[in-house]
Amino acid sequence: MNKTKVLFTLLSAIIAFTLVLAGCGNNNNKDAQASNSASKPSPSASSSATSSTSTEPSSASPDNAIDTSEEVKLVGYLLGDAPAGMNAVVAELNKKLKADINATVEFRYIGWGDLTAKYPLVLAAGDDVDFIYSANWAFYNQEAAKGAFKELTMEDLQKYMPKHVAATSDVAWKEAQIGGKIFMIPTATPDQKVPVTLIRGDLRKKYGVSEITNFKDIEPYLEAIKKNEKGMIPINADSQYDFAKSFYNYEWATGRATLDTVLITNGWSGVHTEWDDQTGKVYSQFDPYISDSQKATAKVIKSWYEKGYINKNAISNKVRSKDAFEQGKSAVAYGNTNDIQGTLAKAAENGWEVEIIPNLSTKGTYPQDPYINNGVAIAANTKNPERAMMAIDLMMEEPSYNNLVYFGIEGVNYVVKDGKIALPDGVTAESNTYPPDAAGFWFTNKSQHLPLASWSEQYIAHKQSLKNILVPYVYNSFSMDTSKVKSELATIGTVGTQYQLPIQGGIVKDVDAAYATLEEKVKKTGLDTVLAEAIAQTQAYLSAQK
Amino acid sequence: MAITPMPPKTASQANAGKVSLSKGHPGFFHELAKNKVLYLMFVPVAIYFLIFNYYPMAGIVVAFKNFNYTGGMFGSPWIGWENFDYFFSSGKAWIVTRNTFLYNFVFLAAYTFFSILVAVLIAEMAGRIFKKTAQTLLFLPYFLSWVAVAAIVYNLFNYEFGVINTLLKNLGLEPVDIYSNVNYWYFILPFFYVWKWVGFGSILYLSAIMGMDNSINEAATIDGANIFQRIRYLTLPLLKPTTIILVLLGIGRIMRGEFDMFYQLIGNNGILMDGTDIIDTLVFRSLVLSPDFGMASAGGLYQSVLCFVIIMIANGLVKKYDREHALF
Repeated sequence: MNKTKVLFTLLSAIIAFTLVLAGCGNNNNKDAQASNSASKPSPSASSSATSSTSTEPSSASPDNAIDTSEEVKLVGYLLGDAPAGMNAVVAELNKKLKADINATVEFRYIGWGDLTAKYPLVLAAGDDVDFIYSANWAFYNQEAAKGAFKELTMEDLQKYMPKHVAATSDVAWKEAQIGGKIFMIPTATPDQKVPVTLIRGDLRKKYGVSEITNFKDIEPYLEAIKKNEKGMIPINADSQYDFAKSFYNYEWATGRATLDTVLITNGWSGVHTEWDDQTGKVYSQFDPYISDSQKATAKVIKSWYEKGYINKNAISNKVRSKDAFEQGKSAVAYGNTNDIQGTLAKAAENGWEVEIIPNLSTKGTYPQDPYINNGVAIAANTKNPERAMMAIDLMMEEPSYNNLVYFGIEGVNYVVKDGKIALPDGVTAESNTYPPDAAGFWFTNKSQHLPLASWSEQYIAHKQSLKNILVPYVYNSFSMDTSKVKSELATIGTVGTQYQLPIQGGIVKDVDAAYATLEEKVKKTGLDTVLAEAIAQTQAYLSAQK
Repeated sequence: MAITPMPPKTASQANAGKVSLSKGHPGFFHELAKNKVLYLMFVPVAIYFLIFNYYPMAGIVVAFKNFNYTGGMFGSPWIGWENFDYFFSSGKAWIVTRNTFLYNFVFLAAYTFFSILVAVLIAEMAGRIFKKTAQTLLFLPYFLSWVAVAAIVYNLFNYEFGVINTLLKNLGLEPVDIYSNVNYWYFILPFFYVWKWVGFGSILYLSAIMGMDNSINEAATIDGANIFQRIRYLTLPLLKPTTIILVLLGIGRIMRGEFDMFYQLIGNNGILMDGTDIIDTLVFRSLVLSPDFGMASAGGLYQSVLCFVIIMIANGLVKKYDREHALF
């Protein structure tokens, strides 16, 4: 045998082999790390700061004063990405926190792309996190059920977060309860927002289409755009956010305005409740009451797709209609009250006239966001829950803190002009290193915020109209315990992606046949089990409410 | 896994021939003591594999547990096979297993074929500059992430503005809707797989070719063999051991889908799904909205077991027909 040959063969094989193993090993490693640190709570970097309230009875003063003599370093996780000006803001924040409660905070971010993977891992590792952003749409139920969050009692909250408790309605705490226990601190001011559709008013007038106030009347506008604007697709949808939007917007405006009863904000369970129905009846999606009207909508969307009103490759497109709209490539933008602000500003710069159509039910309503749509949870393994709560209390409710974390440093990131938040001279929306709302502090008390100078009259009018639109939804604070049906839900989710999304995008050949397939597949994977469980739990919830 | 222990084994055999013929079968500790320097050199590798590849295997238990943070990996309650339910009750277990296997089979075959082809061509090329340029260009896609490739693919194939459809329209032909017809993807996917990996693969084979004894080639040339004969009767047969090892390693991961590729290129496109869904994408879609360590581990374990069975069969076959070249 030739020695060199053997050597090279071996070498290449070993290289390849190591690569293979490194690839295979990845997942396991993560699990192992996670469990390791979870099973042995190792002393963390901040262990020098042992529980500040490890009560020494002798020093406990009668007026409930909190001992903050020991300095504490907290680690908090937020979602999204740190804006460029984050360090300056955190330095300022820590100066204030150090003076007020003898603590400093380090913020870390979980990016949107890693949210589903990293969020549970951060909590599973558990020894280097004191508080974390939490919300019903960010796995609050699932993580709380797994024991990731510390239980908070009302006494503790009153003691350490007096400002927030005073500012927050009782309903909020009720919504945050899971099995009677509170695991998160909900915001005092849930977002006031509805889904909206933006259209180009200037183009609408140019082509003589009459005014549109309801999404169901949008077709003539789409037709005019298709006919006259060659470089523009009427609805240039993406695969994530927009894909099913045309379907739901139309269905809400013409048929049944429903929410998913089980997975309110993310996913699909095939179980629905109408938000206008105060008795909270739970339907299977294949109840003719729901499905007949959905089929009618699906046929309309299909006709839009076939006429070229919706882009052919929406299912593979990654650019949101909102962004295409800003570039003049889409005549319609889907978004919500809050996230269209940038789009409106950019349209104004281009000299376009934009009209806002809220997407509502046939009764002209939309469910109010629950309080637990934004909030903070204390990690189960934190050593300093008291100081974390105190810091959060300040950030949420103390105006100077609140403005700092939400708008940045006064004079650098914002100035107050005529009772409105404006940009300092020489700073543009593009160059602002700490844009409002961008740093992930969505849980602060927004009633303390001044209006933004950049809001147009039309946008202010839209915001004011919200109070007549938003209605309480009967299951707002209901959070279903999905542990018994989790494998059914996982399977129903995949069936939905494969068989329901194409219907909603209008790309199936035959709507009725596609619905029949969907129904057959979903029933096979256990829709009835989920429905029965949902009915049982909602009934129990409703009777507990009385 | 037997690659790494091999050097000490061959070395000890060489020694055994010299020294301990009379002793018969030396014991384990005797063996250790005798070749302690060689084993010492092996220790770092052994530790690496123990820590990063053997120790984490204990994590398999999570697949059979209802994971919670208080109990952690070993304290959570056992729930038997429940974590596997979502996978098998989806009615898609067979489809995705088949897809995973067939795609990877095609990928492996095409990848091996083109890698060898490219390696041989590069080895026989005359101009040094041309040779290096060709190699660099072929290697370039290896550094692109699938996210970037997906953007390229979308811009090539999308219906309204895609390069191909714009071209077809300008030629007065009907545009084709590639994203809603699965038949195109049976070719597009392997094409891009090979495009991305062939640069890397060809280097492995090229290194084997470079290691061959050049005097054989020269002798053949003197004897009047032309270039095709040299490739056919010298290069290819000498590449056989490398090919077998690399193919066996490839087979070892045949049930692991190229997740990035399928997820980025196909995404949530339900129309294509029956033809393009693999185990990894199904597991991902099932759990992306409700992460559950137990159920995800169950999916991983299923793949590992299939991988294990397939590699054992493949290696067994090689052993049966060509004992010398089997992995273990």
